Amino acid sequence: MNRATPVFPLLFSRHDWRNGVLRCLQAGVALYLLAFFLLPVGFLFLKALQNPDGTIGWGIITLLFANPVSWESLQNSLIVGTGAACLAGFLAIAAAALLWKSHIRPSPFVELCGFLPLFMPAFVLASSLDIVIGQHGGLPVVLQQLLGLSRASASLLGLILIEAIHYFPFVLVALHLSTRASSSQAHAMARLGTPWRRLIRQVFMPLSLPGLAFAMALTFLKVIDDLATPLVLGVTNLLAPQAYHRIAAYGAQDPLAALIAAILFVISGLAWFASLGFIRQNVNLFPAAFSDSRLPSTGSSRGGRVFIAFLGLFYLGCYAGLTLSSVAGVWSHSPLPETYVLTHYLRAFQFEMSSLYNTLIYCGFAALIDLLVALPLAHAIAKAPAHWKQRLNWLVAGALCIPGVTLGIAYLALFRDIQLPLGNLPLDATGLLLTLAFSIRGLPFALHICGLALNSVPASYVEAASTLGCAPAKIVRRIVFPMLRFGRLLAFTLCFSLAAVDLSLAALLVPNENNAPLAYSIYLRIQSPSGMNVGSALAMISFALLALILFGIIHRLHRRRESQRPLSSLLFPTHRTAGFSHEPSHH
Amino acid sequence: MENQSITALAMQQPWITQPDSAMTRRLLRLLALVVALLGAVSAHGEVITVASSLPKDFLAIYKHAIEAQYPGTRIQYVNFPATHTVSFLRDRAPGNRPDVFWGSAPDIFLMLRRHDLLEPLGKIGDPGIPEYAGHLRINDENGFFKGQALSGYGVMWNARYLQARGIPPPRNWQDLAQAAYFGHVVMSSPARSSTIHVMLEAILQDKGWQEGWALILRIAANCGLIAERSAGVPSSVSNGRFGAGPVVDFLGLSARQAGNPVAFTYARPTVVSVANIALIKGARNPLGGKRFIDFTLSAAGQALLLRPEIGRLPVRPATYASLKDSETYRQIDDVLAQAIVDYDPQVSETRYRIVAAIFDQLITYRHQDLVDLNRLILQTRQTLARHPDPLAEADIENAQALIFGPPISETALPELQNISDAPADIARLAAYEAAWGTLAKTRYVQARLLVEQAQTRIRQSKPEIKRP
Repeated sequence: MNRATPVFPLLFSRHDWRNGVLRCLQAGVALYLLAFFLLPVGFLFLKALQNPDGTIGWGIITLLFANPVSWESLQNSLIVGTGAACLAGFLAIAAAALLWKSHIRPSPFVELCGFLPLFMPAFVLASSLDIVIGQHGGLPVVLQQLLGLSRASASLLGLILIEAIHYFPFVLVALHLSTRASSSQAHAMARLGTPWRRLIRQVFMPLSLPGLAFAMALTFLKVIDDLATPLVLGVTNLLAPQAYHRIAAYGAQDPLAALIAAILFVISGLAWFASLGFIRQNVNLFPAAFSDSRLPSTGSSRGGRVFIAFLGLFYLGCYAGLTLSSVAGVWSHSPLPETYVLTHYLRAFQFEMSSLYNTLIYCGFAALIDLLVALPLAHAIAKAPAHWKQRLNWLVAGALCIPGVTLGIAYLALFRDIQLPLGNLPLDATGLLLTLAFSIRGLPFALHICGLALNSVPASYVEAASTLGCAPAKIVRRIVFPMLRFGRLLAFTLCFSLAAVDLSLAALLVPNENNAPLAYSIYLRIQSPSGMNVGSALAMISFALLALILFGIIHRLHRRRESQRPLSSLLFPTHRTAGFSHEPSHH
Repeated sequence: MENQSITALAMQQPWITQPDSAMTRRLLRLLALVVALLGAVSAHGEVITVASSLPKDFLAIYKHAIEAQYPGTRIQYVNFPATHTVSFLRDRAPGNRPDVFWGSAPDIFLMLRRHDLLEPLGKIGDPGIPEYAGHLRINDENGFFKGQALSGYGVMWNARYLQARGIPPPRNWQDLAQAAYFGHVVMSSPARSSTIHVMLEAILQDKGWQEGWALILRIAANCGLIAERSAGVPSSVSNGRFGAGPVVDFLGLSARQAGNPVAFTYARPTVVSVANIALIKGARNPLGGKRFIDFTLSAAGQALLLRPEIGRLPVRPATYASLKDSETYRQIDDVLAQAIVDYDPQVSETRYRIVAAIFDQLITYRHQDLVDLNRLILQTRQTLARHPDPLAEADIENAQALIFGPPISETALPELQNISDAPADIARLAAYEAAWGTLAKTRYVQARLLVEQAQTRIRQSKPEIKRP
C-alpha cells in the first residue's frame, strides 16, 4: 500500500498566514459549490413544490401525475435504467469470470478501451446499429418481429439492449480490474484441486461485488439521464425526454419540467446510495486486490485472447454502420453504399471545426475549474472533523448522481434572468453556464483522483524539506505540485472527456447551434436533412481524437515509475465514505 | 547527512531538480494559451450577425458570396430552431441583438412584429420584386419584413423503397393515410418543427378542425416513426429507412440533387409560404444588417437560391428567366394557383401551442399504441374484405371514429389561445394536456375493445377463420 500522511496539514500550521490563503481558497470553493450546485438544485425543488398561484404545495405533482404519460415515463425510466444496468452487469460478470479463469492480463490500451463508452455518447451506437441491422426501423423493429412483442415493449427492450451493449465494456473493465490480482492465486487453488465453480462463487463473486455495484450504479445513472439515445430511437415516454420536450416547448419557467428534473435527481440519489452499501461493504478487499498489481503475467490462455478478440470484433461490427456511412456517397435502400466519397470528412472539417474548438473551450475550462476546486476540497475533506467530512462527502456524492438533465434545467431556471455585467449579455447566452455545469459533473471524479494523488505524496519528502528549513510555499511548488503531475493529468483528461460527451447538459444549455460542443454537433449532424454522413464523419474524427488521447495516457503510464499507484486504484472509492473521497491514515 | 538524503531523493525524482524557471515557463505557456483562446473568442473586423433557422450548408453559400462582394465584412450566423426566436431575442438587451433574422416560418415574423422586435426596412432590394405572387403577399404590408424566397410544402418519397414494395407514389396528403402506406411514413412533431406545423395548419385550415385532425391522425397512425427533429424526415426518406414523409420543398429537391432516388411533389391542399428576412430592432450593426438584406434581395442574391444544393424559389420573377432547365420549377405557378387561398398565419400563430400539445399528447406520446391499434384495424379490415360482416364492420368504423378525432372542439379553443410563459398559464395548459393524455389512453383502450369485439364477431360467424 502506498498510502501516506496527507501533506498539507504538515505544511500549514494553525496560525500561519498561509493558512489564511488556504482558507480563502476553501471559501472560494464553498462559494462555488453553493452558487452552482446547492442553490440551483434547491431552487429547482422549490419550483417543483410551488403551486401555480405561488403557494407551496403538491399542486404541480398532482398536475404532472394526472397525465398517464408521466406515470408511464417514470416506470419506463426505472425499467430501462435497471434493465440496462442488470443486463450489462450480468453479461460482464460472465465475461469477467471467463477472463479471471483464463488469467489473462490485457494490455493497458485494451483496458482503457473499456472506458471508451464513457467517452462516446450512446446514441452514436444506436444510429450505427440502425444501419448495421437494416434499413427499416432498426433494433426495436427486429425485436418486435422476432419476439412478437408489442411496439412499446419492443422499443423499450431495444433501448435496454443498446444501452447495455454500450456500457458493457465499462462494467467489464471495472470487474476485471477489481478481480484480476487474485487470478493467479485462484489458479494455484485450482491446481490444488478446488473446483472452479466453487472458486468463482466464493472468491470471484465477493471480490467483484464492489466493482460491479459501482459500475452498475454508474450505468443506471447514465442511462436514466440519457436524452439522445431514446430520442434517436423514437422513444419519448421516459423522464429525461419528457423534461427536455417540456423545456423546448415552454422554456425554463415550466414548473413541470422542474418537477421531472427533481424526480430524476431523487431516483439517481436513491440508486447511488443503494449501491453504496455494496461498494462499502467489501471495502477492505480493495487494497488487497490492488496491492500486487504488478504480478508477472503468467499462463494467459488462448481462450481469454479469443474472447477479447471476439469482443473487439463485435464492437467493430456495431460501429461498422457509422464507419460505412461516413464514407458513403449515395446510399439509399441498398445493403451497401453505391458510391464512396471522402467529402463528408471535408465538410466536417469545413463546417464543424468550430464545435471542436467549442469543446476545447468548454471542457478545457471545466476541467481546469475541476482541478482548482478539487485540490483544496480534497484537502479540506482530509482535514475536516468527522461530522463535516460526512457532510462534504454527501455533497460530493450528490454532485456525482445529479443527472445532466436536472442540472441543466436547474441552471436554466435559476440563471435565466441574470445579465452579465460585461457586454450586457444574458448569462445563459454565453457558454459559461455550460462550462460551470460540466465542472460540477466532473468534480466528484476530479476530487477522487486528486485525493488519491495528494495521499500518494510521501510525507517523508515533505518532512525532510521542512526540517531543512524550506518554506512551505516552496515545498508545495517544488515537491508536492510536481508529484501531483500525473494525478493532475489524469483528472484533467477524465473531466475533459466526461464533459465532452455530456449530451444531456449540452442539449439544454447550448446557447445556439454555433456554440455547440462536438457531441451535440454530432447529434445535430446525424439528424441533418442530407443524412447522417457528416455526423458519422464527425463521430469518426472524435473517435480518432479519443484514441490519440488514450495513446497519450498509455505513453504517460509507461513513463510513470513504479513508485506510483496502479491505474485500477483510481477507479474505486477506497474508503468508508459516502462518495468519491479519501481518508488519511493517521499515524 | 540530511542534506545527502535529500540529494539522493532528488536524484530518484528527476523533476525535483527542475529549475524554477521551467515551472514559470510552463505557467507562462499556459497563460499564453488561455489568452490566445480568449483572444480568438472576441471578434474583429466588421461583423454582421444573422440569426437563422435555415440549414448550415445553405447559409454558408450566402456567407461566401457576401464576404466576396464586400471585402472586410464577416458574416456570423446564430443557428437555432425558429420556435426559440422570440425568447432568444427578448432575453438580449437592445444593442446586443443579432442584426438580421432570416427564416422560413411566416408566423414567427408575425410574432416578432407583435413583440416589437423588428425595425421597418424601407426601400430595399431589387425593384423587380413584386408585392404579390399569385394571391400571396410577398412583403409585410407595414414594411417590417421582406419576402426573400418562396417555399411550398409537400410529400417526398423514396422511389426505390416504394417500388420494392409495390406502393404507388403519393400525390397528396390523403395518400399517406392509406392502408398501403402503413409503417412506411415518417413525420415529425409540430412542437419541434415549424415546417411540420405549417403543413398541419394547412390541412387543419383547409379541411376544418374535425376533418383535419382525422386526416392528421390517420397519417400519424401510418408512421413508422415520429422523428425528433424535422430534419429526421428527409434524411430517413433519402436513406431508405422509410418510404415517404411531409417536407418543405427545398429539402426534397436538394436530397434529389445529391443523387438519392427520391422525388417530391407539392401535395394538395398546400400552402406556399414566404421565407422572410427582417432587420432586428436593437441590432448591433443595423447598417451591416441592411446591407445583408439588400444582397439577399438583389439579382445576385436571388440567383443563388436556384443553386441545386439550395433549391428554393426566388421571389424575383426575372430570376426564373435565366433558368436553363426549367423542369424542376415548372410546378411553381401551378402550386401558387392551387395553394389554399384563405390560409391565415394569424390563426396558426394564436393556436400554435394548442396544436403542438394536442399532437404530442395524442400522437407522439401514444404513437406505439396508435400504430399497434392501426395494424389491428387494418388486419381486421383485410379479413372483412374476404368475409363481410356488417356488425363487425360497424365496430371497426366506430373504433376508427373514436381514435381519429380531435380531443377538443374548435369552439372550446379561444379560451386556450395565447398562452403566455407565466407558470399559471403553463399549468392551465398542462391540466388540458393531462386531460388529453388521459382521453387518448381511454380512447385507445376502448377502440381496442371494439376491434377485438369485431374480430370475435367474424370468428363466430365464420368459424373456419383462425385467430390472427
